Amino acid sequence: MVSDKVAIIGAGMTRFHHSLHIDKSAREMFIEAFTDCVGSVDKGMNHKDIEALFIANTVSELFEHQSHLSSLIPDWLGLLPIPSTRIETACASSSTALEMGVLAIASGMYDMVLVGGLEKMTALRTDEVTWALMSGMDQVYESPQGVSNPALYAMMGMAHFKKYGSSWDQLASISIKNHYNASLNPKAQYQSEVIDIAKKVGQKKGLSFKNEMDFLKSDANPYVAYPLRLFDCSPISDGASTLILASAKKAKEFTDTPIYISGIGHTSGTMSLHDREDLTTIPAAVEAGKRAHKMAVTKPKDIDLAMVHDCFTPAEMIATEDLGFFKKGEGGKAAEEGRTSLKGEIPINTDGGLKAKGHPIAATGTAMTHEIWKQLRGEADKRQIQNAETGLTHNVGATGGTAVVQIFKR
Amino acid sequence: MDEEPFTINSFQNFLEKKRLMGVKCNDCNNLMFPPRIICTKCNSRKLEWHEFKGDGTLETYSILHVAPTFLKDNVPYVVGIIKLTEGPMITGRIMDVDATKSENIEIGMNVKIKFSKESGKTILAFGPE
Repeated sequence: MVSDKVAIIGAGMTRFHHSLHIDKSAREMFIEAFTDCVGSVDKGMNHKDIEALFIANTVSELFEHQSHLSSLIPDWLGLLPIPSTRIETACASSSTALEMGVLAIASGMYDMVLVGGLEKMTALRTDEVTWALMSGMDQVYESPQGVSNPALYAMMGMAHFKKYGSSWDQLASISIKNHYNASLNPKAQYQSEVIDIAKKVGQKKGLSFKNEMDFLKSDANPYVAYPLRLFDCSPISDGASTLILASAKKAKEFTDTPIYISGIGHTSGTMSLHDREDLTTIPAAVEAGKRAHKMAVTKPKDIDLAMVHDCFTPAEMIATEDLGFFKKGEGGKAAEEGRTSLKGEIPINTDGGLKAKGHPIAATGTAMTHEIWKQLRGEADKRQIQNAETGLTHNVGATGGTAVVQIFKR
Repeated sequence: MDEEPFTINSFQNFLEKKRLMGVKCNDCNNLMFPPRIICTKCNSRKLEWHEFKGDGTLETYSILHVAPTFLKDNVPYVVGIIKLTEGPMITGRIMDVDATKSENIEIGMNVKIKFSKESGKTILAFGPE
């Protein structure tokens, strides 16, 4: 009913960054992403072709004291009077906006829709950002105890270590891999391998590190939420990302290589981590994966590459298990063995992931899709996966109160 | 006690009196902590207050070194998820452990409610028995 009825005809994003956009507001970043997106449409397009907008943002009230983005954005894009709606499902917001755009076109109501997400985070200090993002957890039964988002994922990691014998060293291999991938991505926040960062930090502090692990285990990589250190955590980032969707029929007028949305799985999970019997899995993500595959008529082995929600390194380990790429308990080992690298059997986070590409919360979902779009069209340059035909995104809100899995085909 | 509505406010009022109150479903006997209004297992609204003993085991934990604004001067501090003896799990601050020595904290260790006050309000804090 919905599968392959809607295609992506353009994808654009700002570079994600902690300082590059410091003098820009969220609206300016969104316009930058939109301009990049319009420029990516092979046969060109007119702004007036866009009939509706779904815009994702998590907490601009806290970051910029700005709500009503549903008017602000189409106004500043010159798209008035199209209908515009803001979507918020925490960190999964823009994958949800993409879903709403797909449904709006599949319903027959519109032929072309703009979707995207934005987050301007760097105006606040780290402790203030930590607090702003804690609004995505239960304010009565979690927050007052002082548990942060990194601490929640740290606790999932600790439970996984205990149950399956996985280790922090395995998590570190995920960080090293994602930094390597980001070094090949001009849109990424950190375009440096961990070893190069180690050398730079070493020079600055008068220290020398034997190798990457020596650096990652040192005080130069301080704890954020034990056992997670700085390099286990996605950074604070500014950024925006956008996609232009069209009905499959209309898409051919704009490009000869549209990317089809074949499967969508979107589920809700318990708000609080403590309400899940098993802390080593995200049940909503498991179910979202199953639903996406059912709609796309695919299986995990049919996926050529996946962007998963690695807000913290344990999240990527758990995601690769929840999505059925590896057996439960073996995600960390698989990463350590290089099975998720660019040359591995299932490349994960070819764009650098949230860890190294950056994670402007509500811009993340459609930025994952931006990478799938590039890869399936063969435009990912040095990080290109050969013959990629089917890609998957896995976008999770907080600890799994929301999970969205989407499958794309060339 | 029976007249108290199943609200956050009631829960907190009990907590201030050092009572750990959840609910029990009269249709399926499901025990819920903290109190719910609709049973999480069978959707029944026939619930009654149930007092929890306040002891359990530490299922997992983390030690925070970067904290939200209201706790930024308290680092490092420990948080965990506690499985109460009666079954439900809850997030808690973990007190009376050395936050600078992770080896002193063990998953599976027995913990007990501590009714610690922060900014004049009792929070869900647990510590070794």
